[in-house]
Amino acid sequence: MKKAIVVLSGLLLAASVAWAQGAAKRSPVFVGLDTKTVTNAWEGYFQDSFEWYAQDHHDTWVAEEANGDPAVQVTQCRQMINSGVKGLIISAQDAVAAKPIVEFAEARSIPVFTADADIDSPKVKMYVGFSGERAGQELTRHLVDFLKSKHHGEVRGTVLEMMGPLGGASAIQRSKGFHDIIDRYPDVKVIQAVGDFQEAPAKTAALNVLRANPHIDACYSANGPMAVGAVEAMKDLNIDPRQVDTVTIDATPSVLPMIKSGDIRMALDQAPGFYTAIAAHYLVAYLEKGDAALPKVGETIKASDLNLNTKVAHAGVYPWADNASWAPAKITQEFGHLWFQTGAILVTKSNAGAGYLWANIKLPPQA
Amino acid sequence: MSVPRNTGERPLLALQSIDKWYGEVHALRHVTLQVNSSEIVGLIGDNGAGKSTLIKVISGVVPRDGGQIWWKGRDVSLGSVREAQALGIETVHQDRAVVGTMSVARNIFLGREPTRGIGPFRVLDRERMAIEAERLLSDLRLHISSVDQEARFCSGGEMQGVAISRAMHFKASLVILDEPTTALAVTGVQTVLSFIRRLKEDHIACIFVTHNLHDVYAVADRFLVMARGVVVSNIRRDEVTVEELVQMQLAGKAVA
Amino acid sequence: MPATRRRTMQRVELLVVKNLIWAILALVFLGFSVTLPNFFTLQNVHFVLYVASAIGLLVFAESLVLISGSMDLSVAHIAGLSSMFVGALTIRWCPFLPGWTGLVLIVIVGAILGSINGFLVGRMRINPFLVTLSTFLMYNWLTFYINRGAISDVSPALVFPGGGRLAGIFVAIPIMLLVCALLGFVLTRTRFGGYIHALGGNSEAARMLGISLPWMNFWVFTIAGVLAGLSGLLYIGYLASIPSTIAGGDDIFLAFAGAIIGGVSLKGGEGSMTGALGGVLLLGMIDTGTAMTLINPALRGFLNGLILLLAILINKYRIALRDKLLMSRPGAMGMPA
Repeated sequence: MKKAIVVLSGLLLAASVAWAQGAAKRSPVFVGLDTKTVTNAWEGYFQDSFEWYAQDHHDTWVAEEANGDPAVQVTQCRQMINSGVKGLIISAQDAVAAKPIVEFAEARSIPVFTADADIDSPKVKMYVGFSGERAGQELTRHLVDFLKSKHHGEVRGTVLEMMGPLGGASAIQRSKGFHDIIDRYPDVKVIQAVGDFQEAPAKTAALNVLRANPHIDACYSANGPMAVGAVEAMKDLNIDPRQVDTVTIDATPSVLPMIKSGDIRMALDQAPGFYTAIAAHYLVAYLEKGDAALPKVGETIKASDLNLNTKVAHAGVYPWADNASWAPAKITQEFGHLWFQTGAILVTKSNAGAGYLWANIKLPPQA
Repeated sequence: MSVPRNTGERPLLALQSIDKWYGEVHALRHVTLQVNSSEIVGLIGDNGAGKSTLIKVISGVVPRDGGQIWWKGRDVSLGSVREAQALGIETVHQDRAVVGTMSVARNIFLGREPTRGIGPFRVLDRERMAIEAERLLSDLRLHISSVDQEARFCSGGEMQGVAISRAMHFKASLVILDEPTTALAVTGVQTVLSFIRRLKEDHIACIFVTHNLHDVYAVADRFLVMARGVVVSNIRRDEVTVEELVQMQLAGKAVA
Repeated sequence: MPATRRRTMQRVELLVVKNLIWAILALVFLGFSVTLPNFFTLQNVHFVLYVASAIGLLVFAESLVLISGSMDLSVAHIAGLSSMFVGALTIRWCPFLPGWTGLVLIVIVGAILGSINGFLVGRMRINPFLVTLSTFLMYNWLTFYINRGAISDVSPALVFPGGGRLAGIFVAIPIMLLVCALLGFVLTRTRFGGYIHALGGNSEAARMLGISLPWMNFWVFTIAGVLAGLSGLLYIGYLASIPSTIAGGDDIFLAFAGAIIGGVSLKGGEGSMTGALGGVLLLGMIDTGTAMTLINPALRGFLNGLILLLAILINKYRIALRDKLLMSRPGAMGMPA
């Protein structure tokens, strides 16, 4: 009983202090993040920006990574819930295997938001992420334009498709977007190589298929590292990458130099830094005001609608100062819950050096 | 216990109060014994008596926990196999210590291969090993078709020959034979016994560990009987019969 | 005389059987050449060798450890951590260092990482599976800790061995072949190499004959680390960058597969570097060949596994055949010549 009084008075004190600090700074919250893996720059930045955002708002935070194992993710999330997080943001390793997390959280009235990789459950409050399928479609349209102009109005030629791991949800979506458009053109031959989303397997796979088929017109890659691998393969086979129209999803740090040199024509970039920030923003808003804080299906969120800039510098920049990389976003539905469908930004030679691109943020060596 | 007196000659090998523990098991308890040059000593005792442990201590495979060892009058530590080999103690182990996947020739020289070359660029002298190996085996009247044959295709007797060849080649002063006649046919046993007699002719001492009392009785000068980690009897061949030895081994103590 | 002719024939049979991996390789090569239009070209052979170079060094490292009677699960991550560490050191932390220092450093770092395994297995006598499993995890996560993305601005000196060409030939190929020849020489012609075989064949015997097991294990794992470091170097050149997933993924599995298909025994004591080379080339050739068939990628993967299985079965038959030949030779087992 005495302990409860102490805790309660402590909370009251904290609350009044927070209130006294003014409406601009909201009360700190204990949030948790669970990422599926953190093995590359994109995922690293995704997690870093969550930590920075929480720090800037004086939130208590905890971040875990599941090492690609859905079971580990479930365990970690349960532990975070048991340790008292008020809200969870999850990038799910497996959309179905992560469902127990949502059930467990809901039983304790803890809202779950997803970012980058969704969970198949209507009890998720909102999913923040872009559409791999739409991105694939948009890139492929540009690729088709290239083929058309190269072959005097006809859409024909050979296209190399670099694919992610054959069972992966994101790889499947990105491939589907490509095929949604390219399959309409019977004169286009598609050769597929599986690169598992990494440079080395991509380069080896590309080397193999390109030796059998050296005359390609274009290349569609489902992610940045594979595009780099494919370009390296072309160079080793004395195929000039600047003659090949390579387009890819994700402008990773190794992709940008290739865009600048012309080896890759364009990349469709997501905003990993914003995913967690947007999710955190709405999570906190939900904790204060409930469902009213969330946007409605059919709305469009413009750059001017959401200001996430904390005016605190990290790695030399204000990470959320410029909304160009994700706005405008559409609010749609997926798996029975809200989907904050962020846009993607087209990166070409003209804007490859832009400061708002996450890959251009000079992260310190020990990120 | 009657200790043989060799006129003025110091013992080749002398052990004083040797102790060895394996965890809580006192495998060797204050073992004291001597071996003189050109002497063939039969080491007998039932299973668990400590014979193997004693051999391992003398051959440097395991370190002792207590006691002293003198070799040719000098106090030695015998902390490693290399040291024992350098002193001139060669051991023919119970399981032959043969690497089945390597050739016969390589096995004979394992650990001490002859090399040629200069400085750090030493390569195996395979020719010399082959020639030597063939000579050694023919000395033992063993006919292995090729010394390059993998040892695992050799019979038990041939592998025994390999192990004995090692001792012969490396010019030992003391050869320890641990159960050399086990799993051998009659001709094999005779070969081993004649080899042991040859050792004596060459003034090489020998410790012959065996269960086979009839075999060892034929060649030994003296017998050491062990039981439960202690030497219970040290007796010359002319002082005991085979039957009495059998008794002592069974009873684990000296027979009056 | 019929007896001597029989013996000669048996010797030829034995020779073929001992080097069967090369016969299998030739067979597969022929098979693909006949069925695929672009397979039987110099360029193709060149590229198969090129792609095999980086993984080849890992296969050699693993073969060495397997022959000595242990196993090393961490070789791929030694390659990864050495590359990432040296990359970060020479490019980010101390950019004043000239590029070639990276070449020396990567070998040293590999040696150090391997020697940790060597110490734990050799001196502390911990089971190699457990030791290298732990170092596998430690080295993997250390790599990510140093840099999560890729280091792309790698100095030309670091890229040259793995990706550069001399007279049109990828430098990585002669590097790999030279290492193979060197290791093979050490294994077959030096005392140390013999001790490695003895260690794997019968470690008790080796111990009783005065061979120091702690030191042998230490050096075997350290050398494996050096080879892994070199492998990392070749990977850097292959990708012209250092991603954090370098030498990760499937590579440890391939290191084992190449060794075993090449005749290195999991039990220890048996195997050769040339066999391992044959194994890695076979794997690379099968991978290339099935990729060039350009059928559905999922089916390609299945075909890859199927051909691999065939190779393994033939290899099994080879071992049985070889033993039969050796046992039935006149003169064996003391029988009259």
